Amino acid sequence: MPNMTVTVDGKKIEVPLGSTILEACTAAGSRVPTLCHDNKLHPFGACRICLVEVEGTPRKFTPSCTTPATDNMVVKTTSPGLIEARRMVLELLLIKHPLDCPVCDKAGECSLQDLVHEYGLGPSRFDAEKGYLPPDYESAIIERNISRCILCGKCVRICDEQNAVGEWAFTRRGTRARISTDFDRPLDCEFCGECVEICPVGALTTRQFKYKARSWNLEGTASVCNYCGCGCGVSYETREGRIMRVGPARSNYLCTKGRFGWDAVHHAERLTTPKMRVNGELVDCTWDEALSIIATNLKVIKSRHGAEKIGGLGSVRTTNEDSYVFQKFLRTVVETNNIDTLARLKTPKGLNTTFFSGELNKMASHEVILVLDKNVGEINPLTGIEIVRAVNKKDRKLILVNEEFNKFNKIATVVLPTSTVNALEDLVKALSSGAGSEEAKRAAAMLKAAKNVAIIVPAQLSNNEFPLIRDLAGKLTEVTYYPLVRRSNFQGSLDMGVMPSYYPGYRKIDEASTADFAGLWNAVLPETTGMNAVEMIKAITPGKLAALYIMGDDPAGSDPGLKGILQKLEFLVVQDIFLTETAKLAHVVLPAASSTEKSGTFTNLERRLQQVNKAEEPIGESRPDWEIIQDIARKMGGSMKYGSTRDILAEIRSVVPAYKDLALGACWSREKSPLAGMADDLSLTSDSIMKQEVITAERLLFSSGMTITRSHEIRTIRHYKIEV
Amino acid sequence: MAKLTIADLKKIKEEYHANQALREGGFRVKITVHMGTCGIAAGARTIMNTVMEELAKSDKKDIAITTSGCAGLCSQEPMATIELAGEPPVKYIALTEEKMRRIFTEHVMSGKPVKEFALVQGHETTY
Amino acid sequence: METTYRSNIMICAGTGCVANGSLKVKDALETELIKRNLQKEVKIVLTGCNGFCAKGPVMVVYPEDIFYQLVKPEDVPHLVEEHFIKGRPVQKFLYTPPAQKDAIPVMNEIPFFKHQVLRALRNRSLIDAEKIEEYIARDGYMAAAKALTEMTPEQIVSEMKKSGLRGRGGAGFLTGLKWELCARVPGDIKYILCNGDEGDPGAFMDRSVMEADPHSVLEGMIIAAKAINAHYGYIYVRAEYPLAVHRLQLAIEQAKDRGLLGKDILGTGFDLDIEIYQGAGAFVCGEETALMASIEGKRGMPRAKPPFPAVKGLWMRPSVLNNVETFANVPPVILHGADWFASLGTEKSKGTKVFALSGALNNIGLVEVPMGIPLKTIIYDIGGGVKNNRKFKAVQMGGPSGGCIPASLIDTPVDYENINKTGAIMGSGGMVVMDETTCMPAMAKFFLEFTEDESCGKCVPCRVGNKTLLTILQRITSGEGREGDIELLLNLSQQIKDTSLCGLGQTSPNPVLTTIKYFRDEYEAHIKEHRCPARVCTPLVKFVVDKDKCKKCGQCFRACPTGALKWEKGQVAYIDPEKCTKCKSCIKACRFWSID
Repeated sequence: MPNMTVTVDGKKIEVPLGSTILEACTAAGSRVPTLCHDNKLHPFGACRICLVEVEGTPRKFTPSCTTPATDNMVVKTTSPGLIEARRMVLELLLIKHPLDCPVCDKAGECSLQDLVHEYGLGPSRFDAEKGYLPPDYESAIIERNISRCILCGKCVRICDEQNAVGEWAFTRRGTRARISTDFDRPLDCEFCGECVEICPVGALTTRQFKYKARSWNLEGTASVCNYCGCGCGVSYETREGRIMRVGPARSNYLCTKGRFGWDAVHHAERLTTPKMRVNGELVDCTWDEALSIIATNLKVIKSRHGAEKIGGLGSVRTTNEDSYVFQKFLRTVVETNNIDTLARLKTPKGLNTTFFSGELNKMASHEVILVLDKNVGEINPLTGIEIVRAVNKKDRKLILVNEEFNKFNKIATVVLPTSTVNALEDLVKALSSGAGSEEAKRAAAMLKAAKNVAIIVPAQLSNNEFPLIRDLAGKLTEVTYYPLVRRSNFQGSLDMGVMPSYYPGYRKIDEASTADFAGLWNAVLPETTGMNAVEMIKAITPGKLAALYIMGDDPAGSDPGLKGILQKLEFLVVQDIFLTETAKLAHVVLPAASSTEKSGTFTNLERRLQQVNKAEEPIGESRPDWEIIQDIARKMGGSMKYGSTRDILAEIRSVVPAYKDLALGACWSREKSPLAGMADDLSLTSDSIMKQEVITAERLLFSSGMTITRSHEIRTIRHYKIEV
Repeated sequence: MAKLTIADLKKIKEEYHANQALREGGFRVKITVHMGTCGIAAGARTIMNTVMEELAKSDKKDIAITTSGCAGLCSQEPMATIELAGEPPVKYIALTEEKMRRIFTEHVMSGKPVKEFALVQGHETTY
Repeated sequence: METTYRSNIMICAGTGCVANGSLKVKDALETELIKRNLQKEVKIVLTGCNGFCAKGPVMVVYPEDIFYQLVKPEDVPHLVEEHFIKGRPVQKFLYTPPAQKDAIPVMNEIPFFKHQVLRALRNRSLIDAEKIEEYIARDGYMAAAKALTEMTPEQIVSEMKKSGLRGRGGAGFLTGLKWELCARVPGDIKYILCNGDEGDPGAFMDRSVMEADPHSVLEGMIIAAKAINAHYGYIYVRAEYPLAVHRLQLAIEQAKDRGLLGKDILGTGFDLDIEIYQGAGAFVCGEETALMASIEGKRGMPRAKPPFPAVKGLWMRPSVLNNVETFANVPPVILHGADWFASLGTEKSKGTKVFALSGALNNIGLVEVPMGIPLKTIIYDIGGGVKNNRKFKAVQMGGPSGGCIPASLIDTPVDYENINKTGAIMGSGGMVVMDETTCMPAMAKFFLEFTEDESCGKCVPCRVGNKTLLTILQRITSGEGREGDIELLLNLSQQIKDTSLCGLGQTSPNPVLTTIKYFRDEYEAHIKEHRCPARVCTPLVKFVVDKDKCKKCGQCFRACPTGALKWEKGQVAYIDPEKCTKCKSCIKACRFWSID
């Protein structure tokens, strides 16, 4: 990229050709105040506070955010005239802006407040005209205080440019102009809260945070969101050890679940004590009692029926450390390989064998993006956002398969209005023979001409879709897959071997691998592979499975048909953060600490290893999953002795090759997996289980298993129907 | 309608001048009622209707009636221009129905311009 | 040293007369004069058309002002013999006016018409806008034909630059240069746009052109499209001009029908499609980038420049936007040449300008005059002076973006530079004349009410600043002006001009700045003395008769509708405050400014 020389405040600096004056000033270290500018957004030039002086131009002042710098430009970022001009802008804004600081949540992180302080404004030259407009209290989650709005337009632009939703718009004109929705109706959008985040003043605030704390009271703890597979970095902002609000880490993006759905862990019905079943009822008990009952029962069932009649269903929301200890306990102490997660029923065939996700922030590097799942924005919102960014900022082409209509239609270059399987067939046909509909031919031409193509793989694939995708990819120059992964640590659970036929690190269970792991773990391991989740469920009724340990999953809640089956178990242990439908059937219920209350690691859909950090103390008597399991293991004679999650991670690194030199924040490469390119299928199918999955909201975006039903904030979105 | 060539443009121009020019045997008089928005707002439609009525009553075939846009002196609308063959056009201003009838009778039919209603005669300086 | 001729022969070389052989007459005259050795005494001048086309070839001999008609080359020797040698005008060729000729003045005897030169309005009152043949009959589409067949885009641009034609919408940017900047940008898809939004209150020049001569706009756009290589065009017309929309629509259809628009224009292989886009009632959409946003279906808000529309305009494609009047000027430039166009006007402001005269003038209307004409001529000669014998106070030029020019500057030549020097701008051509009964602070308030309402609201200085200026002016005109308000207005006005995003905010304070510059005493009277010298601001009018000034004429008494005004013959008038409704009829009737 060729450079040019710009002089800012006497300092010469080299910047790439095409930089704006503001970018040059920032590179030179000169601070220019801004209100309507944000690096995520296309320059707007509305607030006029970023004006600078450029030598040799006819106009006195030049807006630095919108004006391109030119070679040998000489810029001054401050002068008496500029200071006066900036003070005027602030003075004018303060005419109408209400003096709400004492009651406004934005105080302490408000750009207007900061600038007024910096420019030392005193009594104004103008009369105040406060003109109070009633705030909008009707929208879910977001409160809009129109009087405070300075009309910078950032909310409008981010919803349009980043989200392709465009819920906000400038309405009316002049001093009567307002940012609003059409007809001033309540919000009906994705409720991601990006507009609230980017608002420089307190015009957009959240009900969740209202009056909870002052920004300077808050301490931030970096962690990872526990909803979908994107694993967006979050910052839990706590006051006196309790989370007040959540913001994005690294300022990338958060969806409504990540930003507001965290409050599920604060729900009043969090489990705080262990429970045991006495005379058919669940009553509180001590940890000692609970753990003893479990250890005893498992030992008895193992000796009476055999370890092959004991199984475990793991979680896709617990940390890698929890998952690792879970499978190690079942394998080394219980001596069974009946380990699995029901989430494998909801995964695309080919994940981790054929489909290894590319990095989401590289989405814009692909010339053409083929979206095979119209719900990409609902299931993995960040993936959807990166697609919008790629189209809007880098002009990438989008081929969308969508029989209906959603926000991606607005930015798509070609739309194939048909089902995924038909679209794939049409594309393959068009690529091979050049025949087909106009759209298919256009799409095929684009795909063929592209140097690299991104393919968004649907969250679930049917038997005929999988080979069609491979066929299609075979006809293209270069393909990067972006599979949709529904839950935060599903990838991690697979990596950690929570599967009946694979050890951690995807090593197929056979004689050789069993010998290796027996040595590594210094234990006796079962010789045969175990039952998968579907088989385990099916095995209960005929008595082939007697005991089940369910950690962090709620099968009966997701599929009420399973209630009757689970009740037939001789012994059911449920370890969770809520008294779920499944827990209500258990013989022992163990309260677990939530992901905000413990540390560990998650591995997201990009196979990125990320650190989860403890932001709050575990509620009541709840404890981290791995600690609980370790205690049971020891009660059963096992030798696990981890002092902290660091110890566990160290062991994981020594056992799973992909994790060996994997730095925190980095993605492990597909070469490190023994299954890369293999024909193994890590997905499960069933024609009876989880068929009638309960969707807890009108929109997939606002639903995520049963955890989200406890989020007070998400429930206020009017789409939400289910009462819990 | 057939697409034109450049030669056609010239032909149209010549034909138009030949047919529309005021002369003996062709049109003897041309009445132009000015109907820009200013004229219409001031009542040019009434004036036009008056002209049409008078034309019908006269039963003459050598009177051409046409419209044009704003004549420039907007404050004096409604305006009309009467042009007799061989004479400079006369612009009448501030017209009413009665005035128009008198102009029709005296100027159009009898060739005598009505001085008290007229502003000016001749063409403007154009190229 | 120049020869002094004793006689000038003005021979018409307009289209009509040339068609009838006036050039041959000229040649014959030249030959004959040389033969008679009169060439140093009699000068032959070729002129433009002056109207009597039916009688062509025509010529006028000065100094006697003898009008000859229907002159043929073979008549020339006889004419020269009789008129120039024997001194006897030749009866046969004299124009015999009808009996009433002396009673009805001729065009150039009436100042309103005398000073006008119609170029953009060349077809004024001569054609029916709904008949394309009439436009063609007056050389219509000949310039487009020439541009499409005989000229390259570079030549068209060069001719336009040479002519010196500047944008008539108000900014006055060199049209040829604008076209050149866009022509240089590579691209298959470009747009030629016409700004028919005409939002200035008091401006109706463009309306007249669009209603009366829509083809002149289309022809100008064809030529421009050829210059920049655009094949798509839009005319943005404000929806408040339904007749203009209708006539333009009809014109486009008729042109398309005849192959003068659409594919393969005149068989030259050049394509141009033009569509009309209607505005929706926003003054700000007259601004170039806001206009483009509006056509794109977005909110009419301006955006930053650079990138300039010539490079990235409508839908981010290279685009040229010109005003209606600018386009109307283009065909004559191509047809008659840049030198012809530049023969009128001043050094930096070539050609003519259409002005819309309104306000306290006798002759309200639309006039086209050469650039450089003194303001005085427009106001007094063309405009007929101030109505009701009132005194001229100021003229507002350029609408709400412009400023007022006081009586002391009435001799200012009207061109871009000279008007800018006064603090006003030429603008699109609106001229609102004000007399002594106008209050200048109230006038500034009127314009600020407009711009405050029309501001799009995007940038802080215009959105809030204009409102603030308006608030201060409202205070001043209602008697609540404060010490320091004038300085505040001046200071804030300049800041708003310096910091606003687009032309609306950059010029909206101009009425304030110019009225303070030239009529500061009025502001001071409002603020310091609680007095409105023009008696317009009712809260500042006392409704008391000044006994010393009262001429006892009783005019006020006759005007008063409520009986509050008491007067008897020979007495000083008196206003009963109990009955007075402050309607100001008495003040309007009083010619002596006796009521305060």
